[in-house]
Amino acid sequence: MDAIDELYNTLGALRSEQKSLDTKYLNDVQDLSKKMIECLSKTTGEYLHNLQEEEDAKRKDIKEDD
Amino acid sequence: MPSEKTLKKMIDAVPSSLSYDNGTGQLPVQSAAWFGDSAPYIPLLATKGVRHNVGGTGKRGGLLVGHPFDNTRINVLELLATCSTHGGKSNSEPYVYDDTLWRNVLKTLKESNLSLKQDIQYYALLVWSCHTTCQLRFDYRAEMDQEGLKRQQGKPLIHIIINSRSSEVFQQFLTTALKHHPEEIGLLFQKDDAGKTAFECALHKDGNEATFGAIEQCIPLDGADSQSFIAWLRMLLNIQMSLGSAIHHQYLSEIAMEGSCTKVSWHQEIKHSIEIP
Repeated sequence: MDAIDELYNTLGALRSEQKSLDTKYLNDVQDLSKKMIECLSKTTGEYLHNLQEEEDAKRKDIKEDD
Repeated sequence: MPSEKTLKKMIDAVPSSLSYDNGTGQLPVQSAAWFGDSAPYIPLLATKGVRHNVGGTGKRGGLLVGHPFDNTRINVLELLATCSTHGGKSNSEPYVYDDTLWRNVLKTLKESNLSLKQDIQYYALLVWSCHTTCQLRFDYRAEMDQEGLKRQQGKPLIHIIINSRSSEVFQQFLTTALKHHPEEIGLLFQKDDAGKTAFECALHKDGNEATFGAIEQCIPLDGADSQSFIAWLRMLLNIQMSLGSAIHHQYLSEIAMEGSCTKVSWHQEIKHSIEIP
């Protein structure tokens, strides 16, 4: 099982039990989840910023007087 | 490169990524517009961006957000009108332009209602795309807004082209303008605010040889339909009048009005007329 599967199962299990979880613990998990979403947003955002193949892509602006 | 399907799922899983600032102040949809490899993803990024209000209200998923540092605050629609791509592996290799790729992005955006006819006038997109390396995009925009060829943001486009671009670009413009406005001879005699015709201005800026060469290249001599045929004839007439020449004005007028002569005889007659001092 890789990390994604493990995390998926962990969160699934915690989610199903959230009503019975201790409040402080639940708040900590909520905070952790928010941080994780922020990190995922950053990682995915950076990926979206770099969809070009780096070694091939070069920017070329057209000169006004071409 | 990810498939569109995969990318769609990634974005659906983390929609906030569409608004991620990578430190340059740009959105992902703006970054994608700088490269040929990433440009085909722009319609997807914008479509998803609209759903998640990327760039703010009315910014079409980020397409209308201006570049954070560029002086002109160029937005993605403007960038797509002029951008080119490079296929080489290093900076020393020659640039490879792929106008078709960028034109296809525009087509997809239009089909998704992310690029509208009124954008052409509002953002002067015909000015942005009138370059020899963007001919397909220029023609595509001109097809969308044929009246836009006459004026962009209130100014006569043909004069903007003559004043700021090469005679090759002028020729490109004229070819397209003749297609959409043959009855106005490709807007060649459209006047600027000072009352000068585009033809006069072209002669003044590029000289007779380059101007006539450009005009000649635009005229469909072979396989021309009768409309183009008459348009060309009238143009020759106007050219002669502009030059103050008295060469067979009446004669040319008669031919132009007749419109019944064959292409061969017309061509011969014109040639004959021009050769007579």
